[in-house]
Amino acid sequence: MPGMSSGLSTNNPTIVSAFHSLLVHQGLIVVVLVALLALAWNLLRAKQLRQARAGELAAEASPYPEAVGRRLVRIAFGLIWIFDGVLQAQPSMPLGMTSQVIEPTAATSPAWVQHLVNAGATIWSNHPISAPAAAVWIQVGIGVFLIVAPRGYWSRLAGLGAVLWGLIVWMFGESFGGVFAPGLTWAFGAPGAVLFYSFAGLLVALPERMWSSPRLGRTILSVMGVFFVAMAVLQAWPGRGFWQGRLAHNAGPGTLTGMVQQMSATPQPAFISSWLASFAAFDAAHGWAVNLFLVVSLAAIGAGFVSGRARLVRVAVYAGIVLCLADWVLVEDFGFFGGLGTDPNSMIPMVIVFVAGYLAMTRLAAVADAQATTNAAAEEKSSFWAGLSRRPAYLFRSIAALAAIGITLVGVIPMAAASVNPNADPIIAEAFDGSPGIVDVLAPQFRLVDQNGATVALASLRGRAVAVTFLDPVCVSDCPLIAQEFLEADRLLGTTSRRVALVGVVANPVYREPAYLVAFDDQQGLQKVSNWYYLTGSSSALSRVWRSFGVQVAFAPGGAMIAHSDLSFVIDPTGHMRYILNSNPGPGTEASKSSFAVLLANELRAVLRA
Amino acid sequence: MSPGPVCPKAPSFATRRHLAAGLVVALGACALSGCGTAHSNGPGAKPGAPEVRASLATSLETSSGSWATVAMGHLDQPLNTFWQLFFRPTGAVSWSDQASALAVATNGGLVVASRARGSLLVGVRPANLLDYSPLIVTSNASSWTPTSPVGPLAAEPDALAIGTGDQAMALVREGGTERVLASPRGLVHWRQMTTQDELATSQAGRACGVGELTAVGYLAGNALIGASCRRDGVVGVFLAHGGTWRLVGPRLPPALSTYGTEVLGLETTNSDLCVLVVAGVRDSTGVVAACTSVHALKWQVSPALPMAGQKGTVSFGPAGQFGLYALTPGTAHHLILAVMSEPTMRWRRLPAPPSGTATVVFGPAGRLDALSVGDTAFTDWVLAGGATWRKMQVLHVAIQFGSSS
Repeated sequence: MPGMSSGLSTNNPTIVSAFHSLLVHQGLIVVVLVALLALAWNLLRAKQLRQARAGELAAEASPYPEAVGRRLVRIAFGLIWIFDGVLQAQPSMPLGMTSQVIEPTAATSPAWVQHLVNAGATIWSNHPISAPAAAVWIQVGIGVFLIVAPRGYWSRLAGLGAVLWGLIVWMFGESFGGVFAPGLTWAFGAPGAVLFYSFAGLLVALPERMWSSPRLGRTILSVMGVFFVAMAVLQAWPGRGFWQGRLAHNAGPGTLTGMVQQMSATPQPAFISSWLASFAAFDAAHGWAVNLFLVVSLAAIGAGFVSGRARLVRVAVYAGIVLCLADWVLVEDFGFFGGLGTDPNSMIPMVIVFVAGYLAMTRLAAVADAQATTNAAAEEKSSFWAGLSRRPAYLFRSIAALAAIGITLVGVIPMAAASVNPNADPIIAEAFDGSPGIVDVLAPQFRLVDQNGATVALASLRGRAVAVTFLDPVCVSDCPLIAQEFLEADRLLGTTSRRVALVGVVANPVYREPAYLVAFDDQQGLQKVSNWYYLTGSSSALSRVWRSFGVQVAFAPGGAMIAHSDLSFVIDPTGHMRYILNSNPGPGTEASKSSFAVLLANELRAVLRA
Repeated sequence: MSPGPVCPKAPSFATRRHLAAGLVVALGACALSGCGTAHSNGPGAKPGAPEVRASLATSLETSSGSWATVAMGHLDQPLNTFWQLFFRPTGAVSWSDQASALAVATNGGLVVASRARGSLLVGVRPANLLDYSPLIVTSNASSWTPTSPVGPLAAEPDALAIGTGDQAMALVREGGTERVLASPRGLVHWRQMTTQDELATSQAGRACGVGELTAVGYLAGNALIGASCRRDGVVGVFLAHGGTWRLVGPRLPPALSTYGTEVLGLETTNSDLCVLVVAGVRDSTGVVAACTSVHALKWQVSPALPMAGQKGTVSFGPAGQFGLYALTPGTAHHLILAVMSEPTMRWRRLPAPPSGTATVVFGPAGRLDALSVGDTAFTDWVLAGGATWRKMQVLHVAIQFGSSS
């Protein structure tokens, strides 16, 4: 019935099972890929051993150690990417990501940000199975790549991959971390966790020789220091609600208190909720003091980082770790609870970055033999195949890197396909309305008058595929959406639409005069669709058609519109009814409209092929 | 020669330079995030014209009985607000809801007009995805006949008018465009008479400083348009005359209006035309009635019926033998009900109607009903003995919440 539609639940079983099914299938591809690469490893290793036995293989050069700061960044962010990938596999991600994460995050940003974010969100909304599954494999792949490729070009490529995907997520998933929105604060995760992922990726992608000098560490700490000082200024800025635990005149909680209260309501273990509730109560009572502490701490830590003096930096690093962990637990609430958490938020990545900066400044590569480094790099560059055939470790790393790239591609390829396909997947419509009913019966005959006054009978449409639906010309919700879906299906059919007739039958016993049909067509842009027939007739003729198609039409009390069944029928060129579609348009989003149109166009093509 | 392991020296960075850079970045971040931004009207801002709207809730009498339209449901949610059309046949005591006979969702509101007190024309304002207005006519509430639809009717109680010989006018508002449409006969075809732009740039329009068009009506068979005027004290009533529009509205004295004015409605009572105008002097806002004979344009102007505050909604309509009624917001949530009688042109206050009253009905034989609504409950109160309101009927309307979304 029109108007009784609702949005899909984020745990819609059709979507969730299709999502998990795709993940399992893609997982099998990954397993096969890994097995093939293991076989390749086995064969190449056997060849190496044969060469070694024959004395053809020279002793492998001793590997030069990786700088400890770089190793920390690489492995820690590798693990975080894998963790994020696993979070992406949560059942709420396909439907909840755009409506509950992306769009609310973008809502307070300027229009151009929302525009950009909407473009990304559309890909996700139109492809709620393939896009989230792709995100899982891309993130797992990047994480594995970072971990298994410690050195050389493979490793730097992994870093670049992290930069690229991190920036995409930062722009489209985090709305630039909210930096263009009011209310930006360090405590809630500014400037976006994924920006740190990209920064870390950039550090991994740098030439390794840069890690052999303390300059890189100082630069990292200076950047972080400037960032902390900027965040302190922002935190201290008056009029943003951070200095009050409670707003004046009982106008609600202060900004920080409100945020923590909101986070404490997230589904999570009770003891964590109670920590947050306690901190919210403390902040409500001592908002000014809490903010003063935060401002001073951020400024002091930032100044410590910027100072570049080892002792000060060390103190600042320890203080930063404590402050970040406290914020992670008491304000950010670990970041990943609630079924729609996509990452552990900003504090852990931030800590890893500045600790890596400190290590890069104070603990350089134990063998900072520039010549050895250069030689090894040159060897890798000049003799990739030689490395594969002669050095077991290099061979293993390369095979593992290829596996990681393969995992990433399992995500990248469907994501790219989804990005270039503007039409939504039909599964969205099926999630609302169920799968189309398959029938094979002679379609009920009708003889009515179209919007131009011409008589149209089903028999006169013989030889064409016919889609029939029932539309109230003064309907305020479903019918205009269904009409749009028919229009879109017609566009998708392209030249095939010449062999298709789209038929709407008036579903209102009062407003059935041609003037209303014309007004409806004008409203929906159907007046120029040559194969569109909006049919009407006498009250009794219409009632007969409604009955013969099993469509209920009834007056509704209290100023509601006419209630009628939302059904569509696909009739083949011989006049046999082949499909019955429940055409409840759901929330009428662009994705749901496109999805139904794709489904209808597919069924029409199917009956034409048959 | 290999340099060997390097012990980092204590760095000596130019810390001052970095701190300065930090501050610059901090300020930049602040600017980006809009922190500390405060909006103020600034000093010297002129007081705005009163924000008074005419409510679509109204009542009228036809030969078959009394009609009233009121909003019910969840009034803070547009798609869960459903306008009802109540009917009480002549001689009956009970009201019945006729909204289901309209066969269309009424969330946008109903605009009613009567044909010489005979049949009733109902225009349904569009809502949600519907962007034009169905029209439907009845003479007795038992049979309903749709007529050709019009563009989206403006949210004004006098957006529809029927004249003699089945001619009709409609005021439609589409995006930022206001158009007046006319149907010469039988409500079959509609053609454009004028637009807000055309009227505003005409000589008559310039004399008024036309703002919004707010009402349509007829005066002795000639089309009338009501509008808001930016010029102080000028009342925007325009009469079609020989293919042009003449400004025929009265001019309010400075004691009544020091702002522009806005016509709330055009009412034909007995043989007179009355126009209800919202006007203001400094911080006080009031409703002024001006009436003229339909035969000779000689306006008589009433005193202002004061309103509490500069914002509010006024329900008004014909008041039977009295002339015209107005229901305005008073202080402390009390409503003010007053009737304006000709020829004295004085407002006479009646007992304050019950809380929640949306409109009143001046029925036959001097009967006065106040119709109050609350969510799905409709209550009819009758003024007994000229002093107290007595509850006569309570109706629960089966509203289909969520049916329009």
